[in-house]
Amino acid sequence: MLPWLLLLGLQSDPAKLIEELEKENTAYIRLLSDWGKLTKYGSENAELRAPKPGENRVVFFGDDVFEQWPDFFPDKKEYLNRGISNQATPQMLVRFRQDVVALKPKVVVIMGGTNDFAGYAGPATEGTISENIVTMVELAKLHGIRVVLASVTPICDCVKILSERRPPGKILGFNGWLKGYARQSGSVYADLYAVLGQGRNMRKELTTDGLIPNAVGYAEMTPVIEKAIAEALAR
Amino acid sequence: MKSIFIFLMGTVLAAQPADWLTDGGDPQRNNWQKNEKLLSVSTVKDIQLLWKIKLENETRAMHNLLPPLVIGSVDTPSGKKLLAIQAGVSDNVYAIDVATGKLFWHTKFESTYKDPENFRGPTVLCPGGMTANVTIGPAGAGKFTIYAASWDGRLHQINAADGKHIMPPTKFMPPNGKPYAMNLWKNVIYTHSAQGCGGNPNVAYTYDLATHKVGSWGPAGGGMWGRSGPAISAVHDTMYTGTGDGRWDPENGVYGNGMIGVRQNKQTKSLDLVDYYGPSNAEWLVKRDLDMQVTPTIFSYKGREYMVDASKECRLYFMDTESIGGDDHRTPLERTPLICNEIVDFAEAGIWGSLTSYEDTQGQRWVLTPFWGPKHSKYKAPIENGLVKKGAIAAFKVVDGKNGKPTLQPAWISRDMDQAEPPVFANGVIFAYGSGENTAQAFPDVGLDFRLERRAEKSTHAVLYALDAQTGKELWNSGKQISKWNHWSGIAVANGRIYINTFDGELYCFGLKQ
Repeated sequence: MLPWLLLLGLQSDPAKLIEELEKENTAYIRLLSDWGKLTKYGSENAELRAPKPGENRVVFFGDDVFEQWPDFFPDKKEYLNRGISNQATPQMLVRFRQDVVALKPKVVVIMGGTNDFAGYAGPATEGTISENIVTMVELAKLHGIRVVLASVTPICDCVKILSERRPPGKILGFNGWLKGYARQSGSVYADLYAVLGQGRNMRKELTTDGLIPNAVGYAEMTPVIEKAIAEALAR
Repeated sequence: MKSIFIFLMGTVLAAQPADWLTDGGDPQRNNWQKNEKLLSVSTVKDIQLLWKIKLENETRAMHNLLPPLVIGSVDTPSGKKLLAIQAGVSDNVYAIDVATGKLFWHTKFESTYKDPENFRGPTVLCPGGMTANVTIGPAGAGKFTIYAASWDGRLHQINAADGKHIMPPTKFMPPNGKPYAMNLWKNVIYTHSAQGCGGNPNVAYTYDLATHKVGSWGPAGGGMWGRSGPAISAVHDTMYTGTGDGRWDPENGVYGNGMIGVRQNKQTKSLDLVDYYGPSNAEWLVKRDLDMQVTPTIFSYKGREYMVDASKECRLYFMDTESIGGDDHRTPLERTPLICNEIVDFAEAGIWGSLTSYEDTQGQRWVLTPFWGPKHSKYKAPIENGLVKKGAIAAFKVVDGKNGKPTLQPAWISRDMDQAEPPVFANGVIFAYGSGENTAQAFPDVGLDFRLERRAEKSTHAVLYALDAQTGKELWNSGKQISKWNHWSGIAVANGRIYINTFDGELYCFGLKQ
């Protein structure tokens, strides 16, 4: 109790502090009650019809980079965006059945890890992220879903400092593992880092904030992903 | 001048005493008091506690008193009386003389049902006792019959003048079930049951008063639990209800998490399915326990009959009673955006109870819903009366849509209320209340816990509100005058008075000094 009282005493506007604490408390309650954010797409998934025979349904399963994709493949209704901003791989794992397996896609494009490095779901390492990715791939294969593993995209400090939470060296190291695991698991590797990055950084002309690509950045990503999907479908 | 005004008001009251004879005020469950003359936007500031009375009804789990009802003028051995009729879960019916606030008569039903020896006590979901609110029917000038379904499943018909049976009780439903508020339409009693209490199936029931024949029909779901019971279409003589829990699989005769319309066969008196609707995301509703469990409201708009219902998911479904789900049974006229329950909580958020519909003096049709929990961050109304944390009332206007069909247009959201319950419209005023009940069903330390001890400790007290029906602006509230919370109840409004009861067996009467 004492620290709260001290905080209240130090804060010039206790009402504002209480409001901030309430907001924080609400955010924690929401995170705990829906760790995987199953509520984001659950209702929408329920309204989807099963894929038609011969339909090449593809699920884009990831984080901010997928969710914030503007004008997401307007001519490809069979492509479903299931990205959730700020989400890390342990949360993605929880919703893999609902947001991927249950939708019966031919291909899943998995992108995850950048928010793990940034600590959105607690401490994370290449080891913890890779275990989550492996489990997702194994689940997909068990259900006959072909996998595209998309690299973690680069960042830059061109707008604000991001490299402290998402060290480029860790991203590069993880992508190295991911590429090897894709080969080992029979998945297709989509090297988005190569088209968005230059050296250890994201090209600043391809981003708005150093993390999320801008329209030009997404346009650069598109053929890489389309090629990987085609390759996965051909297998 | 003042005395003339009071005389005139008194004359109006004496000439047309208003009734509130059933849950929701009428068989269509509109929660609309059409005959209110005294309470108004300008007078509600003078509302005060007129009386309260403690009724010795034994509590069962969270349940005590059911929603109060009102008979405006009953011929009794001691003259014409304005009576509040109050049913209690422990097989009690009370009549209170509104003029004095004193008990006028009390009837306790003899039960043919006894708990088995291994009975572990009432629970919140299956409290036992008389769970269906009574309903009242006129029986000639100044005479009224109260219809009650006791714990043992028998139908009682008692004289409102003295509380005495007008005929011996008759078999209606299996004992120890959980039927919901009864409805009376064209000499037929309607109700439905839920939760499989007492090992009984969850079905809709009718009781034909002329022949004493019982009809039933079950949607094979987890039960129909709109708290105000079924609503009846005046056009189709059809009973509509949400089907609560359960899968939506009509091809296999399973109609859970949807709506059904069932109608009495005039020849056989059996009950037949005549229409049904399942939301397109029913699978999600099942998975997250977001049941269609609200009593619908049925009303007329520009000469055609419509129905609105809701679910714990926290949206409204607007339906045409000619075909509630369209050709595919999955397409209503409209589904509103989510109003609340952003966190998809099956216990402390969403829409519960019943809805409200009325026409104002300009002929504008309105639909109101209560909801629990914070407003959805993406839902906006033109008028919002402050931050909503625990619940509120959301109001919609029924207007003509672009496609020539009517649509629900957001109008206002009320102030915050601690678990907002179904409101009543009367003469330009919305009477609403926050029950103060803690409705949580799961707790981090123990998981699911329905026990009274835990929930009662976390509950506070009910607060009654009067709101301007055009804007939702608060005009009056009862503050701390109501000392306890309530569960499974409601309010009644009639003749310048508002009735509300609490878990501890108190019936409160607020109103204007007359």
